[in-house]
Amino acid sequence: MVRPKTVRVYLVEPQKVVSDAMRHVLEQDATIEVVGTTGDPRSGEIGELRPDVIFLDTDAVALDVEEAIAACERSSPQSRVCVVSAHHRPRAMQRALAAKADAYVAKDTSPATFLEIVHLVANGDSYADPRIAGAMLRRRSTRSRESNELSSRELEIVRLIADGLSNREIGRRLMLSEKTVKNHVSHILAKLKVNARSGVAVYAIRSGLVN
Amino acid sequence: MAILSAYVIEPQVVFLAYLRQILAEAGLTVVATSNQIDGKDIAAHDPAAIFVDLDFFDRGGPNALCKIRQVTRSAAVIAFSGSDDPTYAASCYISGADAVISKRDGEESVVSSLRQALAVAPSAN
Repeated sequence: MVRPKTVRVYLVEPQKVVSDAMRHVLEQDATIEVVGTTGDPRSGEIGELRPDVIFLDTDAVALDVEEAIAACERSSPQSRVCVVSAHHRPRAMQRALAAKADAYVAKDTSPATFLEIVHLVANGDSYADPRIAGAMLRRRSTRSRESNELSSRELEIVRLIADGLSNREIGRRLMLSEKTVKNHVSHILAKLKVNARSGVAVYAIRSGLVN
Repeated sequence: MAILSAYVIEPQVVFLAYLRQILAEAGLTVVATSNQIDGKDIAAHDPAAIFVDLDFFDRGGPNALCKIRQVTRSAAVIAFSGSDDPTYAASCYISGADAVISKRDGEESVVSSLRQALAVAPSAN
Protein backbone atom coordinates (compact mmCIF):
# COMPACT_ATOMS: atom_id res chain seq x y z
CA MET A 1 0.00 0.00 0.00
CA VAL A 2 1.34 3.43 -0.94
CA ARG A 3 1.43 5.77 2.03
CA PRO A 4 0.02 9.21 1.18
CA LYS A 5 2.64 11.96 1.12
CA THR A 6 2.77 13.97 4.32
CA VAL A 7 1.92 17.64 3.86
CA ARG A 8 4.33 19.84 5.84
CA VAL A 9 2.52 22.86 7.25
CA TYR A 10 3.99 25.96 8.87
CA LEU A 11 1.89 28.35 10.99
CA VAL A 12 2.50 32.11 11.00
CA GLU A 13 0.39 32.94 14.01
CA PRO A 14 1.56 35.31 16.76
CA GLN A 15 -1.28 34.26 19.05
CA LYS A 16 0.27 31.33 20.89
CA VAL A 17 -2.95 29.80 22.10
CA VAL A 18 -4.48 29.99 18.60
CA SER A 19 -1.44 28.38 16.96
CA ASP A 20 -1.62 25.58 19.55
CA ALA A 21 -5.29 25.09 18.66
CA MET A 22 -4.50 25.06 14.92
CA ARG A 23 -1.79 22.48 15.47
CA HIS A 24 -4.23 20.42 17.54
CA VAL A 25 -6.74 20.40 14.65
CA LEU A 26 -4.27 19.89 11.79
CA GLU A 27 -2.42 17.03 13.44
CA GLN A 28 -5.62 15.03 13.75
CA ASP A 29 -4.89 14.20 10.11
CA ALA A 30 -2.04 11.70 10.06
CA THR A 31 -0.90 12.99 6.65
CA ILE A 32 -0.36 16.54 7.93
CA GLU A 33 2.68 17.56 9.97
CA VAL A 34 2.99 21.00 11.53
CA VAL A 35 6.73 21.62 11.15
CA GLY A 36 6.92 24.95 12.93
CA THR A 37 5.28 28.15 14.07
CA THR A 38 6.31 31.77 14.23
CA GLY A 39 4.74 35.10 14.98
CA ASP A 40 6.71 36.90 12.26
CA PRO A 41 6.33 36.13 8.55
CA ARG A 42 9.91 37.38 8.03
CA SER A 43 11.27 34.56 10.21
CA GLY A 44 14.29 32.83 8.69
CA GLU A 45 12.91 29.49 9.84
CA ILE A 46 10.39 29.50 6.98
CA GLY A 47 13.22 29.49 4.44
CA GLU A 48 15.09 26.79 6.34
CA LEU A 49 12.11 24.46 6.65
CA ARG A 50 10.54 25.16 3.22
CA PRO A 51 7.07 23.85 4.15
CA ASP A 52 4.51 22.74 1.57
CA VAL A 53 1.82 25.02 2.99
CA ILE A 54 2.03 28.17 5.13
CA PHE A 55 -1.01 29.31 7.14
CA LEU A 56 -0.71 33.06 7.62
CA ASP A 57 -2.97 34.88 10.11
CA THR A 58 -3.04 38.32 8.52
CA ASP A 59 -5.18 39.76 11.32
CA ALA A 60 -2.51 39.13 13.91
CA VAL A 61 0.84 39.72 12.22
CA ALA A 62 2.46 43.15 12.41
CA LEU A 63 2.75 43.54 8.61
CA ASP A 64 0.00 44.35 6.15
CA VAL A 65 -1.33 41.51 4.04
CA GLU A 66 0.75 42.23 0.92
CA GLU A 67 3.99 42.52 2.89
CA ALA A 68 3.27 39.40 4.91
CA ILE A 69 2.56 37.27 1.83
CA ALA A 70 5.61 38.67 0.04
CA ALA A 71 7.80 37.86 3.06
CA CYS A 72 6.63 34.24 3.02
CA GLU A 73 7.18 34.02 -0.75
CA ARG A 74 10.69 35.45 -0.49
CA SER A 75 11.67 32.97 2.22
CA SER A 76 10.17 29.91 0.57
CA PRO A 77 9.02 30.53 -3.00
CA GLN A 78 7.69 27.03 -3.56
CA SER A 79 5.45 27.08 -0.46
CA ARG A 80 1.73 27.64 -0.93
CA VAL A 81 0.35 30.46 1.20
CA CYS A 82 -3.09 30.25 2.84
CA VAL A 83 -4.30 33.48 4.37
CA VAL A 84 -6.45 33.01 7.45
CA SER A 85 -8.60 35.95 8.53
CA ALA A 86 -11.68 36.78 10.56
CA HIS A 87 -12.76 39.25 7.87
CA HIS A 88 -15.66 38.33 5.62
CA ARG A 89 -15.27 41.53 3.63
CA PRO A 90 -14.80 40.81 -0.10
CA ARG A 91 -12.14 43.53 -0.25
CA ALA A 92 -10.02 41.69 2.34
CA MET A 93 -10.15 38.50 0.30
CA GLN A 94 -9.44 40.32 -2.93
CA ARG A 95 -6.36 41.98 -1.43
CA ALA A 96 -4.99 38.65 -0.26
CA LEU A 97 -5.58 36.87 -3.56
CA ALA A 98 -4.26 39.80 -5.57
CA ALA A 99 -1.10 39.61 -3.45
CA LYS A 100 -0.70 36.01 -4.69
CA ALA A 101 -2.12 34.10 -1.75
CA ASP A 102 -3.11 30.60 -2.83
CA ALA A 103 -6.09 30.49 -0.48
CA TYR A 104 -8.26 32.75 1.62
CA VAL A 105 -9.78 30.95 4.58
CA ALA A 106 -12.21 32.57 7.01
CA LYS A 107 -11.50 31.81 10.64
CA ASP A 108 -14.98 30.43 11.24
CA THR A 109 -14.33 27.61 8.76
CA SER A 110 -14.93 24.14 10.21
CA PRO A 111 -11.97 21.94 11.20
CA ALA A 112 -12.92 19.35 8.55
CA THR A 113 -12.83 22.02 5.83
CA PHE A 114 -9.48 23.28 7.11
CA LEU A 115 -8.05 19.81 6.62
CA GLU A 116 -9.52 19.58 3.10
CA ILE A 117 -8.03 22.96 2.23
CA VAL A 118 -4.56 21.84 3.30
CA HIS A 119 -4.66 18.94 0.85
CA LEU A 120 -6.33 20.96 -1.89
CA VAL A 121 -3.74 23.72 -1.73
CA ALA A 122 -0.82 21.29 -1.34
CA ASN A 123 -1.99 19.64 -4.57
CA GLY A 124 -1.67 22.90 -6.46
CA ASP A 125 -5.26 24.10 -6.37
CA SER A 126 -6.50 27.39 -4.97
CA TYR A 127 -9.26 28.12 -2.49
CA ALA A 128 -11.46 31.11 -1.80
CA ASP A 129 -14.06 30.96 0.95
CA PRO A 130 -17.26 30.33 -1.05
CA ARG A 131 -19.37 32.57 1.20
CA ILE A 132 -17.16 35.59 0.49
CA ALA A 133 -16.49 34.72 -3.15
CA GLY A 134 -20.22 34.33 -3.68
CA ALA A 135 -20.86 37.78 -2.24
CA MET A 136 -18.22 39.28 -4.52
CA LEU A 137 -19.65 37.63 -7.59
CA ARG A 138 -23.18 38.63 -6.71
CA ARG A 139 -22.06 42.21 -6.28
CA ARG A 140 -20.34 42.11 -9.62
CA SER A 141 -23.42 40.59 -11.26
CA THR A 142 -25.61 43.42 -10.04
CA ARG A 143 -23.20 45.90 -11.55
CA SER A 144 -23.54 44.07 -14.88
CA ARG A 145 -19.84 44.18 -15.54
CA GLU A 146 -19.54 41.07 -17.58
CA SER A 147 -16.28 39.43 -18.44
CA ASN A 148 -14.98 39.52 -21.97
CA GLU A 149 -14.28 35.85 -21.70
CA LEU A 150 -17.28 34.45 -19.88
CA SER A 151 -20.85 34.63 -21.10
CA SER A 152 -23.53 35.84 -18.71
CA ARG A 153 -24.72 32.24 -18.28
CA GLU A 154 -21.17 31.11 -17.51
CA LEU A 155 -20.75 33.95 -15.05
CA GLU A 156 -23.97 32.86 -13.35
CA ILE A 157 -22.59 29.34 -13.08
CA VAL A 158 -19.27 30.65 -11.71
CA ARG A 159 -21.22 32.38 -8.96
CA LEU A 160 -23.11 29.19 -8.11
CA ILE A 161 -19.90 27.16 -8.11
CA ALA A 162 -18.46 29.73 -5.72
CA ASP A 163 -21.55 29.23 -3.54
CA GLY A 164 -20.60 25.55 -3.33
CA LEU A 165 -23.41 24.08 -5.47
CA SER A 166 -22.94 20.81 -7.36
CA ASN A 167 -23.71 20.49 -11.09
CA ARG A 168 -27.04 18.86 -10.25
CA GLU A 169 -27.98 21.67 -7.86
CA ILE A 170 -26.93 24.31 -10.40
CA GLY A 171 -29.06 22.54 -13.03
CA ARG A 172 -32.07 22.61 -10.74
CA ARG A 173 -31.50 26.26 -9.91
CA LEU A 174 -31.13 27.33 -13.55
CA MET A 175 -33.58 24.78 -14.98
CA LEU A 176 -30.85 23.14 -17.07
CA SER A 177 -29.93 19.48 -17.37
CA GLU A 178 -26.94 18.29 -15.36
CA LYS A 179 -25.19 17.47 -18.65
CA THR A 180 -25.65 21.04 -19.92
CA VAL A 181 -24.24 22.41 -16.67
CA LYS A 182 -21.31 20.01 -16.97
CA ASN A 183 -20.60 21.35 -20.47
CA HIS A 184 -20.73 24.95 -19.22
CA VAL A 185 -18.36 24.06 -16.36
CA SER A 186 -15.91 22.46 -18.79
CA HIS A 187 -15.94 25.63 -20.90
CA ILE A 188 -15.45 27.80 -17.81
CA LEU A 189 -12.51 25.71 -16.59
CA ALA A 190 -10.97 25.84 -20.07
CA LYS A 191 -11.49 29.59 -20.43
CA LEU A 192 -10.08 30.31 -16.99
CA LYS A 193 -7.30 27.76 -17.45
CA VAL A 194 -7.91 26.06 -14.10
CA ASN A 195 -8.26 22.37 -13.34
CA ALA A 196 -10.71 22.38 -10.46
CA ARG A 197 -13.92 24.13 -9.48
CA SER A 198 -12.18 25.58 -6.43
CA GLY A 199 -9.90 27.53 -8.73
CA VAL A 200 -12.76 29.20 -10.60
CA ALA A 201 -13.60 31.85 -8.03
CA VAL A 202 -9.95 32.48 -7.20
CA TYR A 203 -9.03 33.02 -10.85
CA ALA A 204 -12.03 35.30 -11.34
CA ILE A 205 -11.00 37.49 -8.42
CA ARG A 206 -7.32 37.63 -9.32
CA SER A 207 -7.94 38.51 -12.92
CA GLY A 208 -10.29 41.33 -12.01
CA LEU A 209 -13.48 39.66 -13.21
CA VAL A 210 -15.00 40.57 -9.87
CA ASN A 211 -14.51 43.45 -7.47
CA MET B 1 -12.15 22.39 42.66
CA ALA B 2 -15.81 22.96 41.86
CA ILE B 3 -16.81 22.65 38.22
CA LEU B 4 -18.48 25.77 36.90
CA SER B 5 -20.67 26.11 33.82
CA ALA B 6 -19.30 28.19 30.95
CA TYR B 7 -20.99 29.69 27.91
CA VAL B 8 -18.57 30.24 25.02
CA ILE B 9 -18.99 32.89 22.30
CA GLU B 10 -16.38 31.90 19.74
CA PRO B 11 -16.90 31.96 15.97
CA GLN B 12 -13.47 30.40 15.28
CA VAL B 13 -14.56 26.77 15.11
CA VAL B 14 -11.03 25.37 14.85
CA PHE B 15 -10.38 26.85 18.24
CA LEU B 16 -13.38 25.37 20.06
CA ALA B 17 -12.19 21.83 20.82
CA TYR B 18 -8.91 23.14 22.19
CA LEU B 19 -10.73 25.83 24.14
CA ARG B 20 -12.93 23.23 25.85
CA GLN B 21 -9.75 21.52 26.99
CA ILE B 22 -8.26 24.74 28.38
CA LEU B 23 -11.48 25.73 30.12
CA ALA B 24 -11.76 22.26 31.68
CA GLU B 25 -8.27 22.67 33.12
CA ALA B 26 -9.44 25.89 34.73
CA GLY B 27 -12.48 24.15 36.23
CA LEU B 28 -15.07 25.16 33.66
CA THR B 29 -17.35 22.90 31.70
CA VAL B 30 -18.81 24.26 28.47
CA VAL B 31 -22.61 24.10 28.51
CA ALA B 32 -23.20 25.92 25.23
CA THR B 33 -21.36 27.63 22.41
CA SER B 34 -22.43 30.34 20.03
CA ASN B 35 -20.88 32.39 17.25
CA GLN B 36 -22.72 35.54 18.33
CA ILE B 37 -24.20 37.21 21.39
CA ASP B 38 -27.63 35.66 21.77
CA GLY B 39 -29.18 37.13 24.91
CA LYS B 40 -32.05 34.66 25.14
CA ASP B 41 -29.73 31.69 24.81
CA ILE B 42 -27.34 33.06 27.45
CA ALA B 43 -30.25 33.66 29.83
CA ALA B 44 -31.62 30.15 29.18
CA HIS B 45 -28.31 28.54 30.16
CA ASP B 46 -27.65 30.90 33.08
CA PRO B 47 -23.91 30.11 33.09
CA ALA B 48 -21.53 30.91 35.94
CA ALA B 49 -19.05 32.24 33.39
CA ILE B 50 -19.16 33.60 29.86
CA PHE B 51 -16.10 33.31 27.70
CA VAL B 52 -16.12 35.68 24.72
CA ASP B 53 -13.61 36.08 21.88
CA LEU B 54 -13.65 39.82 21.21
CA ASP B 55 -11.75 39.68 17.91
CA PHE B 56 -14.88 38.82 15.95
CA PHE B 57 -16.99 41.83 16.74
CA ASP B 58 -16.88 44.56 14.12
CA ARG B 59 -18.00 47.27 16.53
CA GLY B 60 -15.26 46.28 18.94
CA GLY B 61 -15.01 44.37 22.15
CA PRO B 62 -16.34 46.98 24.59
CA ASN B 63 -19.67 47.13 22.76
CA ALA B 64 -19.90 43.33 22.80
CA LEU B 65 -19.23 43.31 26.54
CA CYS B 66 -21.89 45.96 27.20
CA LYS B 67 -24.35 43.81 25.27
CA ILE B 68 -23.48 40.77 27.41
CA ARG B 69 -23.82 42.80 30.60
CA GLN B 70 -27.30 43.87 29.52
CA VAL B 71 -28.23 40.17 29.59
CA THR B 72 -26.49 39.12 32.79
CA ARG B 73 -25.05 40.94 35.77
CA SER B 74 -24.16 37.78 37.65
CA ALA B 75 -22.00 35.72 35.30
CA ALA B 76 -18.23 36.15 35.33
CA VAL B 77 -17.34 37.56 31.91
CA ILE B 78 -13.95 36.54 30.57
CA ALA B 79 -12.83 38.36 27.44
CA PHE B 80 -10.28 36.86 25.09
CA SER B 81 -8.42 39.14 22.69
CA GLY B 82 -5.48 39.28 20.33
CA SER B 83 -4.80 42.85 21.44
CA ASP B 84 -2.12 43.59 24.03
CA ASP B 85 -3.07 47.25 24.24
CA PRO B 86 -3.61 48.18 27.93
CA THR B 87 -5.99 51.00 26.95
CA TYR B 88 -8.17 48.52 25.08
CA ALA B 89 -8.06 46.13 28.06
CA ALA B 90 -9.07 48.98 30.38
CA SER B 91 -12.06 49.83 28.20
CA CYS B 92 -13.05 46.14 28.29
CA TYR B 93 -12.97 46.15 32.10
CA ILE B 94 -15.06 49.34 32.17
CA SER B 95 -17.54 47.68 29.80
CA GLY B 96 -18.08 44.73 32.11
CA ALA B 97 -15.28 42.18 31.70
CA ASP B 98 -14.07 40.45 34.87
CA ALA B 99 -10.89 39.41 33.07
CA VAL B 100 -9.19 40.19 29.77
CA ILE B 101 -6.88 37.43 28.58
CA SER B 102 -4.44 37.73 25.69
CA LYS B 103 -4.39 35.17 22.90
CA ARG B 104 -0.66 35.74 22.70
CA ASP B 105 -0.26 33.82 25.95
CA GLY B 106 0.33 30.08 25.98
CA GLU B 107 -2.02 27.50 27.45
CA GLU B 108 -0.48 27.52 30.95
CA SER B 109 -0.71 31.26 31.22
CA VAL B 110 -4.29 31.30 29.92
CA VAL B 111 -5.35 28.63 32.45
CA SER B 112 -3.66 30.54 35.25
CA SER B 113 -5.39 33.80 34.23
CA LEU B 114 -8.74 32.02 34.05
CA ARG B 115 -8.28 30.57 37.55
CA GLN B 116 -7.37 33.98 38.93
CA ALA B 117 -10.37 35.58 37.27
CA LEU B 118 -12.74 32.95 38.60
CA ALA B 119 -11.28 33.23 42.10
CA VAL B 120 -12.23 36.89 42.35
CA ALA B 121 -15.43 36.96 40.26
CA PRO B 122 -18.38 37.17 42.70
CA SER B 123 -20.63 34.95 40.59
CA ALA B 124 -18.13 32.12 40.55
CA ASN B 125 -17.88 31.88 44.33
